[in-house]
Amino acid sequence: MNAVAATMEGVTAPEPSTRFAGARRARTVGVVSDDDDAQLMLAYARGEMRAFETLYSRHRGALYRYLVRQSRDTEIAHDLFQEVWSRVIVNRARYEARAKFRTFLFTLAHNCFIDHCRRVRARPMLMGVDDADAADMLPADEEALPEMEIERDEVSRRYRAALATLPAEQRDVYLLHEESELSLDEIARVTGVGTETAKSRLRYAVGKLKAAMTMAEDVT
Amino acid sequence: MTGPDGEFDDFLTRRKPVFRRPENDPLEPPPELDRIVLRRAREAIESDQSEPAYHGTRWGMPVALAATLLVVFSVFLHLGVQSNEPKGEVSVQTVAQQVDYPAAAPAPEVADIGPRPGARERIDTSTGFVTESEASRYSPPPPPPPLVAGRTPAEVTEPGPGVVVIAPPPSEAERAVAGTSSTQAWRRDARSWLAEIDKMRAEGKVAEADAEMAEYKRQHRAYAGTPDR
Repeated sequence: MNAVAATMEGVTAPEPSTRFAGARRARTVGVVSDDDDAQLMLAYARGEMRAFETLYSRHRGALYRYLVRQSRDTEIAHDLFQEVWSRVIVNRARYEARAKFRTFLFTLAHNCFIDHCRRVRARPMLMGVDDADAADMLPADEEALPEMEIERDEVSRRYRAALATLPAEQRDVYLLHEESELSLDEIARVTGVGTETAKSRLRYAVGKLKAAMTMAEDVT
Repeated sequence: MTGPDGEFDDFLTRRKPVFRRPENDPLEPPPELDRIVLRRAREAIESDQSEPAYHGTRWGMPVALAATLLVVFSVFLHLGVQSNEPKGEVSVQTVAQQVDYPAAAPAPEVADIGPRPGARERIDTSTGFVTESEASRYSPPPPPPPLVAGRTPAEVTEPGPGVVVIAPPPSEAERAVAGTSSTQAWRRDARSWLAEIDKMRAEGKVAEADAEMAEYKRQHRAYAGTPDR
């Protein structure tokens, strides 16, 4: 409840940089009501801009991370991010509260990414593994970092590298599970496969990530 | 591959991390991206508020009005054409042609005694009236040929349609009757005509009496109950 309040408080802030500061905390706590999301979307469809701002603050980070991790290119991720929200805006009148807003949002994101892959004539599973590219996604801090932050950055780098080694379908399912916090059934619906297939992909993805992260820790 | 199923189930339920992952992923959309998305969202609802809710009202009413007028005009045009449609000229020639048609049907050629001359009378087309002689042509069809004495009923049969019956040459008695019929005053009255026939029989002029009787019957066919003398 505090997380939601913090998010709402953040929306009222005028500056964009500080406006969505509360959304980050909301994600960490993980308290976001799906009913609230649906009501916010319906309110926006009626013309309430502040409802959209709240909705956006709740899901902007997860959606952005999903798209960056999937595309492994910040420019492409930015384009896809705008496209997904544009579709949300355009389809506001057709939105029905029967489905969760998160399912609706990440279905749009998944479809946008698939469309992008078709446009560039590159199948997702053929996209190369480039750890350097993955590392470039984060803004490098040239300042001297404390040891704790260096270690955290190292973990993050290894994580992104391990994620990049996954096949696209497994990465897709894993990112949906991690970022959108959808259930297996919902992930299966978003990706258009059966629940068992989604579960199997997720199991393989988790196994590979665990192996990669454990191996990197042993080396260091 | 992922170890025990319990570990994966813990991962699914988010109870326990399977591997060490970054606690706070610093990836966040840049502020420019936020501004772009929020501006689009604001513009979308502003355009909604500036436009009327029902877009059809701007052009729907004129189109509906025009369609209604078109339908009404078409209906009136159709009705007007129907009322002004020529129904055929009612002229003397048209009437004459229509009347002539049944007259053209084959009729037995018999000794004609009625006012049905073969020549066609002139019609006064200037006034549209039919002259008296023309009007007489529209009399009922002629009666069947008379029963001539000396001929069996089988010989005198009703002609079928399209059959032209050529009457035999008139007998001497008929010629005698025909020669006097136009001058006999007693023929104008049926009673006097019958009395004259009786008188002929009494005088012994049986042939003439039979001829007169035949002529009488021919002209008074309607009198079915008239005794055959």
